[in-house]
Amino acid sequence: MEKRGFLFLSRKKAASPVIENIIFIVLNIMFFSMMIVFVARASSSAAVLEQAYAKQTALIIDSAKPGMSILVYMEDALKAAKKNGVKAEDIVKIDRAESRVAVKLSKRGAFSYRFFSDADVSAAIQGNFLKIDVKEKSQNV
Amino acid sequence: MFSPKRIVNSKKAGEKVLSIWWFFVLAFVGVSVVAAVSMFYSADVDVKEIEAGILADRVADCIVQNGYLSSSFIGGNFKLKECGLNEEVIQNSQNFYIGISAYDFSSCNEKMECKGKIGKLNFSAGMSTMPENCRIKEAEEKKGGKAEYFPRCSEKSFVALNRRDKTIPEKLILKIVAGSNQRGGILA
Repeated sequence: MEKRGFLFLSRKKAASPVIENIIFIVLNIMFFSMMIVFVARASSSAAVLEQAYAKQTALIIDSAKPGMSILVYMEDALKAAKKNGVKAEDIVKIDRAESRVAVKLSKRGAFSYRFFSDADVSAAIQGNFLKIDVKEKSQNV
Repeated sequence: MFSPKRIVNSKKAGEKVLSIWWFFVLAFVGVSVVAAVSMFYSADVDVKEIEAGILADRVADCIVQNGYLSSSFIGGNFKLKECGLNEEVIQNSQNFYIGISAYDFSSCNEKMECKGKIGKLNFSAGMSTMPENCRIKEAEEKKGGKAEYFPRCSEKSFVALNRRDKTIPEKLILKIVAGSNQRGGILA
């Protein structure tokens, strides 16, 4: 009967060094590939960017006065959205009834944040910028 | 029989690299990478204190105009809508608080610690437990705790003048406490 070591066959009948090296290299490649895939998937989720831009937009709206137009540079968000197949016009949505900003950079969902300003707000992507227009709320809105 | 000494002393390179120790190293590296990446990408961008500061400033700009208290605040019919704020969001979302109190200027010391509160000039809206929760959070953070889920408050003091009501002092200290506990959320 074949005698076994702790993990592998006994030293006397171990595989040749060439096979051992190949197994070693394959296992290492597998391990580091898994790590790279995990890090790449985690970084492409864009969750932190979504959160940061939603909060930044809500704070800008809250501190803006009626009549103001603000441009926010968001090239990194646009790149993340493009990579994840999200159209530029779907990145920032403003729900006026709910006073809510939603930023979507991946197909998993959007991060939303409420603003307390009672203004008439609109937002649209223009080139690498997000243009936020804050107007006085009309009586019939 | 398994012997670490034997593995280390082994002359065969293949035996060394395929040892159980190598898998411990890989597991350690793997767990560290997963933990670090998860911590980084699950980080919360905390803007509650900034938001509370903005809310306090908006209210201050509105009730103190050119250094004088607004007539609606003195008259007791002040509404947040006058300041361009959405009352529904502040009152019902349970994420915000705004409190205004006024003190006789002569009752305050240099550190803006005041005693003579003017009962007539008072206003509050939103989550009334927030100032207390902010105090708990501050106490907790002084002890070295985190209190991540507690609200953040911003307290601002201003000197304001009163010309309209002769029953209250002419020179006042206005204290505005604003709080936010908004965390935002993911929409499906």
